[in-house]
Amino acid sequence: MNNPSLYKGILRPIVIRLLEENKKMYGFEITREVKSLTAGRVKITEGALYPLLHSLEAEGVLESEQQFVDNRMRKYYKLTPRGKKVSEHSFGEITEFITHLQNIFNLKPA
Amino acid sequence: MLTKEQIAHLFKFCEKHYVYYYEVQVELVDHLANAIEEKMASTGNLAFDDALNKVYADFGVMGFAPIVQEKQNQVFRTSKAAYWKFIKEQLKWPQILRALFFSALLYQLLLHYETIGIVLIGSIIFYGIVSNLFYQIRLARSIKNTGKKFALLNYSSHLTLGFPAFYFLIQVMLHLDEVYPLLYSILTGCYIVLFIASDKVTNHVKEKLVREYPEAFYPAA
Repeated sequence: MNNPSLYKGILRPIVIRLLEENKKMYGFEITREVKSLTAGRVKITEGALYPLLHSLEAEGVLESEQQFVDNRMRKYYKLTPRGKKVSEHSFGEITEFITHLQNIFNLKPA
Repeated sequence: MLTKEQIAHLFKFCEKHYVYYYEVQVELVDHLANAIEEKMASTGNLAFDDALNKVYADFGVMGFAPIVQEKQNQVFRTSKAAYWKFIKEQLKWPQILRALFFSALLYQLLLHYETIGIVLIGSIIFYGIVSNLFYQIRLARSIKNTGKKFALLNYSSHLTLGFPAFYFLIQVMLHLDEVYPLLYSILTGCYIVLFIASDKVTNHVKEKLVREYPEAFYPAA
């Protein structure tokens, strides 16, 4: 990632969006999915991702379930019904944010 | 795929890096294992320990500390929400009757049979303290038997322990030699509500943990 601070504020909507698309994911899978979608340009650090997941779970946006995989327990996260509403809202916010950035920097929509 | 011994080593590694709560360990072990498997697959002859050190370095200078901290915050918020939920439940009809009945009974006793009333308050508080102590002993035994410590259990048992201090504080503030029937009966009613809510929270937490981490409570299952 060129400038990690640029992505700090949007980690939450990124995670919510990914969970909406993939139904359920575990922490490591989220980091790799972001890396893959951005061709390795964006790297979510573990120190930022897990606190965020735990925080979203405490807020009732996410719920978790465990499965035994490859000799260990794996914790999957998925959106709660409330999380799905939050997802719609955050998608709207991000779209608006992108529009503002485009206006500020005179960027042409891709 | 990592072996059972390597997974056990990762749990020890987490403990060595100050991650004592099982809820956090489970998630970190899976993350470390995935990252180690990825590193070992991409670098043909990389040893497990070397891969582990490289993966841990990716967590940055703070290591696991921010994750543990946020987990504690999350557990604290979850416990607080559970306490409020069960306290509010106890304040609803008809559950509130229990506390009201005790308060009214105590009020009458303090007015007419002061000594019996005081003994009753003392007994209720004593029962609360002893119940909490037994809970702590059972918790310590469970940790000793399973070798697993849960953040959620740690944060869900102390609410009523500090309550008796209120009685003493009020006694000191309002002169030691007097008994205030109305105040004492209301306080005891509150104590009963709090105690029942605490009891329900600990049961709720235990059921949740057994449901989510059956392997921790029934290792053979």
